[in-house]
Amino acid sequence: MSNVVEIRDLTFKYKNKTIFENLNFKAERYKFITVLGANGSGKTTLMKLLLGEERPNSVIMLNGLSVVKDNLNNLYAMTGIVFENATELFIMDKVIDELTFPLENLQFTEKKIENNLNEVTEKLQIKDLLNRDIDTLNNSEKVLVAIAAALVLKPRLIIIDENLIHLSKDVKNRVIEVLKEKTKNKELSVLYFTHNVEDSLYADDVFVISDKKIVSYDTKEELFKDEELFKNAHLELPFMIELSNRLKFYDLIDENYLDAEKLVDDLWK
Amino acid sequence: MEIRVKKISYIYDNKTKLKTKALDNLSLMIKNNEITSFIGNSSSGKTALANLLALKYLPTNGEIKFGNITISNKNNRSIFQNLKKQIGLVNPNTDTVFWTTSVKKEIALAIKKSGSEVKDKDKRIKDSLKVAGLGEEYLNQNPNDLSKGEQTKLIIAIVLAYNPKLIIFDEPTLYLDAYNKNELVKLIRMMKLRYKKTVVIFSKDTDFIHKITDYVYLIKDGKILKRGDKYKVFSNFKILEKNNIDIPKVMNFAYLLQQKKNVKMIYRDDINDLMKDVYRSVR
Repeated sequence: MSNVVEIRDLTFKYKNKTIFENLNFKAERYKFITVLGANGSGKTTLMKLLLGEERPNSVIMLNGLSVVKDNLNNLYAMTGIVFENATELFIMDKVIDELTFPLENLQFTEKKIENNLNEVTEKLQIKDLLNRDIDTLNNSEKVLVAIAAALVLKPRLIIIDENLIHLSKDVKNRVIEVLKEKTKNKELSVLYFTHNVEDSLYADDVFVISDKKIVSYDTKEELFKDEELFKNAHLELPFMIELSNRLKFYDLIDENYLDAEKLVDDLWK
Repeated sequence: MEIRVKKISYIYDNKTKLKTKALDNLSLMIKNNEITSFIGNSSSGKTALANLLALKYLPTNGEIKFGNITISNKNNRSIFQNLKKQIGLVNPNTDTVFWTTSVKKEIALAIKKSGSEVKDKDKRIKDSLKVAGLGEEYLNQNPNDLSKGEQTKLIIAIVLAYNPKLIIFDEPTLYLDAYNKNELVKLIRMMKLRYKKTVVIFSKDTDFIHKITDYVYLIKDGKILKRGDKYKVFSNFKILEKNNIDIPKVMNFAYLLQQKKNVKMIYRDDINDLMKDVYRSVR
């Protein structure tokens, strides 16, 4: 029950093409989890499977519930989803309506709606956006609103498909900070699917989709040592690992450094 | 193709009463057969400028000279129909609508619309796909079923197929993984060196820009804040930081070193250059 996702021995074919073969995926709750995958690795298919949009040959558990038709309503009620094309899916004109509409639909009390809205507004610092027309927002703001719309339901799990790439630098840092705080407080688990390897540095756990499977190690430090894996997965290593590897080659350091400041301090004592 | 932008402004005419000034009295030059990049945050006016250079919009004020053809909002459309054939736009982040049901038909349609004369159309389609990084197995797939990364490559193939002189990229790397990003770096270099194209890139991916660009404009609120070769712009750490722009990682490490230890590195292009400098400095 302590896992946010559990998939055992999944094999999945789409139009006669094998996408996953004997895939196993087990991720702990209340963590910021980054799932890395190159273009065409099956990230989106995996998301569809998790959301019950594709039928798997094995059991998929999400937050302790198996992903089957009868459970979908319950699953959706506790899961916030930010699709890759989230900014094309807005239904209301105004930001505030987009945020409250789903809450009203779920017949939350006025007080609860206000509380949820206030919390998200404050944490994500979107007060200025509330009364704007969604039409007039820039891309970064639109994605921020999509994330707010997922969080306002106070989900126990949020699934994000690539979207953080659209955020401007400061907004991205703010969003990550909010999500990490929520995982620390054991309010939320985060599943972030991306091709951007740098987004694995701040994650608690990192998984890599490679060759129709999902690979992980006990720690991400160990994962980054598997250069072969990243190569096979069509991914680069994060910059700090690339740099560490070269410095190790020249015997200047012994271990990988994820923190640039620490590396500088150790090298230029 | 040399481009001179003279005092242009562009105002978005939203459906709402609110009018947004995306570009404000902007003048600049894009040199023939160079790679020119524009960096800046969301709302900086990047996309408006990309669409103006691609003739999707006309400037509200001012004019743009493409070679010796001048475009302003006084032109009638027949003037730029010919010019349009010379310009390709790669914009994977726009809600791209594909018109046909197969990759093959989509590229064929683009060639037809551009009016360029192609002798062996089938070969041309296959070649462009290949150069863009998609195999022949994609020919009969539905463009709308492809992933965003694959669609990016398809848009590049379409542009390659009708062979314009000016190629504009608007956030080309958004959906590309590291491998495909490196392939795009190679492709853009080839466009410049071998095919003598003029390339314009709009992106907030400064690592990517830093790898390939000749010249950089930093824009904010529709105005130019900084311009120069990449070493000049990307070593101006203060202005990048203040404007919330990612410093390219190689440069960022040099910046950190300068701040913390007052060690100065020579500004170079990639991680291998950086390594040499670090090695020399530490030993």
